Amino acid sequence: MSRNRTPEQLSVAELVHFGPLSRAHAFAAENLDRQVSQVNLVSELDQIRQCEPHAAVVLHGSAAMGVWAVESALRLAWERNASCVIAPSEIAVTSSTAQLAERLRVPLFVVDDPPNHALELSATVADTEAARARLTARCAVLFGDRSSVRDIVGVINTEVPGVTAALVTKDGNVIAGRSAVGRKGGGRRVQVSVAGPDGQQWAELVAELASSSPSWVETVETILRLARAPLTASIGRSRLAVARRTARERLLLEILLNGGDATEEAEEAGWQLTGRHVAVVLRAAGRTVGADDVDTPAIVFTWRDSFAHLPIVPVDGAWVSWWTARSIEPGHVAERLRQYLAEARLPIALTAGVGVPGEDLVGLRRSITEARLAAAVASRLGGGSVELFGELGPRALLACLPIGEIAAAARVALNDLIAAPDAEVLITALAALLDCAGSTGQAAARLGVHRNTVLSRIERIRARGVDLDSPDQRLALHLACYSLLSTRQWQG
Amino acid sequence: MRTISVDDLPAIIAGSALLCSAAGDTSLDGLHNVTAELLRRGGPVSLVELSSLEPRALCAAVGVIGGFAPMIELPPSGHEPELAIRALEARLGRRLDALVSLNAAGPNALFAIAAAAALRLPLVDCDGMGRVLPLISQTTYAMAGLSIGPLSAVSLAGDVLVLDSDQHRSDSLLRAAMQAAGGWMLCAMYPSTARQLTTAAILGSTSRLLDVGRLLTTATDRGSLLNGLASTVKARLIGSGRVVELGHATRTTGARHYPAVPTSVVVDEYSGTRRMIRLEGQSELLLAIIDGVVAGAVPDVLCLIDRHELRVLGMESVAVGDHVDVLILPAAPTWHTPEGLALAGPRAFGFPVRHPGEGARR
Amino acid sequence: MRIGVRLDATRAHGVLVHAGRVLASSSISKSAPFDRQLTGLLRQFTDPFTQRGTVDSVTWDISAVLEGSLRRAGHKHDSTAPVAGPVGVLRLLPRSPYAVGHTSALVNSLVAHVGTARGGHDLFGTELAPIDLESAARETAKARATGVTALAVIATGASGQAAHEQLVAARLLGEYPDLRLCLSHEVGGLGLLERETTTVVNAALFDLAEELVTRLEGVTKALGGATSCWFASGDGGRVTPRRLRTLPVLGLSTTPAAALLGAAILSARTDTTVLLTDENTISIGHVRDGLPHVESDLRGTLGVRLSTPQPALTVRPARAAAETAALLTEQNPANAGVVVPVTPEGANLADWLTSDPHSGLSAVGFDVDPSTVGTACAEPSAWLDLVVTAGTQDDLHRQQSLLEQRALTLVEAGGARPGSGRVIRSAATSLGFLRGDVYRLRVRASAGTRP
Repeated sequence: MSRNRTPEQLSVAELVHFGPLSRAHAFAAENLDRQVSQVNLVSELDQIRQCEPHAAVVLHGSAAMGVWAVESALRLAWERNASCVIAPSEIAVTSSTAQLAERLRVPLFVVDDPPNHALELSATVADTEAARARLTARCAVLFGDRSSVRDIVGVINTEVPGVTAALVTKDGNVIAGRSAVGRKGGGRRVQVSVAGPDGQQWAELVAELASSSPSWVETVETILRLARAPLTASIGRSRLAVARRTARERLLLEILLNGGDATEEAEEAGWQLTGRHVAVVLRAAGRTVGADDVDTPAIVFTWRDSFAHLPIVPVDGAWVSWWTARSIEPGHVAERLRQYLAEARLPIALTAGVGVPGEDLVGLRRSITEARLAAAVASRLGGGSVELFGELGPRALLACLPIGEIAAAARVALNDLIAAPDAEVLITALAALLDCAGSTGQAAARLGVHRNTVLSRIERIRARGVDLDSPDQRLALHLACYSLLSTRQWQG
Repeated sequence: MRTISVDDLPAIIAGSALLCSAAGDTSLDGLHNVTAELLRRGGPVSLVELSSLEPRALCAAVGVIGGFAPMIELPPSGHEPELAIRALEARLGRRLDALVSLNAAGPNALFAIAAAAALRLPLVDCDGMGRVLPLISQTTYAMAGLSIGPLSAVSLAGDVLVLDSDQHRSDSLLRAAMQAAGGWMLCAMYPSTARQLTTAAILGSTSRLLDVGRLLTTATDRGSLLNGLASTVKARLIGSGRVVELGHATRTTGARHYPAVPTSVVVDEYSGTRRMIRLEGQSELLLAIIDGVVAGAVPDVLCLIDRHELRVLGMESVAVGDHVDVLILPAAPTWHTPEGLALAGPRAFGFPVRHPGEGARR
Repeated sequence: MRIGVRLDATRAHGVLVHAGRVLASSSISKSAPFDRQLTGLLRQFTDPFTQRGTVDSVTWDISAVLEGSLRRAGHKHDSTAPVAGPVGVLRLLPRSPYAVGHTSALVNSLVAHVGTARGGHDLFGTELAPIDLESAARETAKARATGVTALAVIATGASGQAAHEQLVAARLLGEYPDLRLCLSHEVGGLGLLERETTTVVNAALFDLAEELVTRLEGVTKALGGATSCWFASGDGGRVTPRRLRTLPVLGLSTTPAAALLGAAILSARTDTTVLLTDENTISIGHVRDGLPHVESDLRGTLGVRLSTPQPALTVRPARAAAETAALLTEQNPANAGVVVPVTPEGANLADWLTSDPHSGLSAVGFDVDPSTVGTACAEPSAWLDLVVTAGTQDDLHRQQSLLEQRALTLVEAGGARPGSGRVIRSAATSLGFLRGDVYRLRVRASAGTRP
């Protein structure tokens, strides 16, 4: 791209967005960043050779007598570093022409009446300021119409050409808008800070410009400033509402879970208590957080974004929800959760547990308890994990074990084994053997080794003083292996 | 002095296909059979140098105006040459001494030979186009100021027409008669003396055709064919690829496409830069545009060669999915003069571009 | 389940196919009583698979038998098998040609008498000469005198305007009720010579086709009434016994067409180049949209141009294998082509062609005759080839749509389930050096869903 632009030039994207090209059919529309210095109406291909760089080349007459002529015009436009080519619509552009436009990175537009279009384009290009004022006014009106943070940022992304915007917290989390903003390699950035309801700086509204001139930067900055007040108002409204609602719902759920009668209030909150439920508990990965954690509002936001009709209640360092439907199955729920955990913009890494389906309030209570146990297992496995209680079965008990303490004890009790140079191999083999109830064949299959290898490993384990044959040792050994493998604590 | 016998016919047929991108090697079995029969009865034909004729020797050009499809549907009966020549001789009041080709390319290369055999006249080794051009007035004969008329024309039903008019009216009058007569007519035109022809004709056209034809009928692999064409007629390969689009851009989804006239062929190159070669034509291929740049233009000959069959693909038989080599054969030098380009350059066909050679001289 | 059987001079090769998979294949050598042997071949397939359901159809590829009888027409002494022809030819032209007679030895061997009468239309449907019914009748009488029972009638321009052929037919059938006529517009296509060859070959095959079709229908009936009987056609489709009786020429060149189709099925590719190998040659063909690529006016295995569609094959000698493989790899490195041996001796060449893993060539069909697979899986089809005059693009569009509808109707009339047809190819080619509004339309349709 050329460096010497005059400051007051519109880009092709702007012409597409709020200029006369909005009515045109576009090809190679990935390359709209170039600015337009002038508009040239050409009736003969040779005239393109005289065009200034950054011209919009409008074809008519013999310069537009067939697809071949348009292709020649694209080539000449490319040689002259023109910004775009505009052709009459009676030429039906095929894929080969579109491909050429893409390869040359020259946008091609098809319009009904090129000469008329050329006039309109010239007028628009000549009066950049008026065009930009119209854009600013349009954004201001749209900001007023939108109530959510997401929609307000969305206005900038959809209306302002060549600009991607996002609302970003102090620590870099993207609350709304395009998460690509701010990554390395972008163009010129413009940002304004946005205050929270408390008047403190709460986030930054960041915009990235595909092309920039001082006056265009100024226009974008004006638009960002216009967005600030609506954003603050919106966040205030929603935060207050969330805080109130979560406090009330937490209380309500506690009553329900403890056997109290609050069905009327639950109905008011829009909760389904009758029918078939599958409960879900979300937990932070690898740690416990308080229910009043600062991240709760963000988690509640993202949840409602994804599952607007489902409750989300913070209880005891976790977040509880449930699906209610005749045909709901835990596997389906887990699928939806995995997608949510993978795609939602979460402030912390989350995991989830899913209960077994249960009928009515009694079943829901049981399902929530199960989901909580499953979530405990999942939280050990790291962010994004989803565990189903129904699949875990009694394994869910393992989540309640004080793994760390058992592992510490195991390091002492199995000192010789842990000291072995291939301790990990031996412990893994031992665990597999115990998992397979002593069957060396099954253990070999699980480990993916030959049975003789397993036998030789058992010999080495025995040599380190482990008695595999004593029934009263077996549970302890199994627990020790499980804890060691879960915590990886044999490594010094 | 060379002669042309029935044994030379396969080479003549193959060579004529290369210089005619409209028909390519479309089967004109009926014309071939009739020519062979006339050569068996009246041949072999003497192929003489123009300089060997008496300066006052009277010649006329023989050639067909019309389409190949009607000629396939109803091939010549074999009587046409005699009817045409005798009618012209009657109008001129004088016997012809020799025949020349209107153009030694496409089916007309055969008609001149068939006529020479039928009338037992020598054929002069020259022509007025060196390729196929759509108008009978687009000749080096006309460029040199020879008059197209009086001329005679014979239809496929045996109608005989004698026409006295100027170049442009002759073409449009004949075209109307041709359409009404069923789609093609054999004509005898440009009556002139050998002296007049010396500055007007492209010399050696028929022998060149024979050389090219021998190459095409004997080549067994693509490499030797391309090399041979490069050395005999300076053919240049401008790209190879798969035909991906045919006809006009009004192609809708599915198998259907509607060409209008002019027709275009788009070839997608195989490897490397994957350039798009767009060929524009009206009956004949007239323009080659590679990625928007004019890479070749009429009056040079553009042609498509099937990479496996090693045969020339005509505009009427090329199909989407065909694998082709695109060649350019330079036209005779006369055509590259300003007068030549004005008569048969891209602008003469309504393409407002310069011939690639023209740009270089500017 | 479907059965495909290919008959050649000495053997019958059969295959049982279900849902694109080969369940069984077998080959028997020909000996009397052949019909009972063929019934045995079919039973051999069906008996182990009765629990899988019934056999829907048996499709017969008889092109080797038809082509053999045409070739034998030239040497009448050496065979016990039926010999094609001879037939009479009646041309309807505005002028007699300079040289009467065809240049093809094959066609000449089939023709007992050639006569010409005035008549015919040009390509645009204009009458070139009024029809001379009297001389047509005189020429027919001369032909009858040589003992022919079949007459090929060819009028110029008949594909677009069949009136003269029909008038002659009406007149002759009144005079000779037992004379079998083949009119050139019934085989269709552009080109007097191409249509004449096709019409002559068709008329020459009338008797043989009649006999073969009747016998093979009988063999098929042994499987019960639920099994229908079909015959492979040269465009990779199949036709009913009734249609093959009137247009036996459709049963020529079916083996390579079916081999292309079989290669597509065995390799599960719908768009690919196919290389058919025998001991000495590689025939390069193409499968597009799941069907063999066919063209009209090709010199097929018989060496004469037929106006009926045949697979478009480029035949290269085995010594050009390396060059051919290199060209194909350049054209499509990912799938340069599917190699199929069509004779046992072709397996070596197929092996050699696919030995380089980077060539993009792959092989199928070593264990089963690919043409029988294609024959079993063929579907009813239609091919129309017409020259039209269209003043505007809309007019062209309308005429093309009409022709597409006609092709789809033909597919249904040819035995396909109503509504199951699709247009495979519909192309309008502007004809050179004529007015801008003359087009050649070619439409191909087939039954079956898009693969």
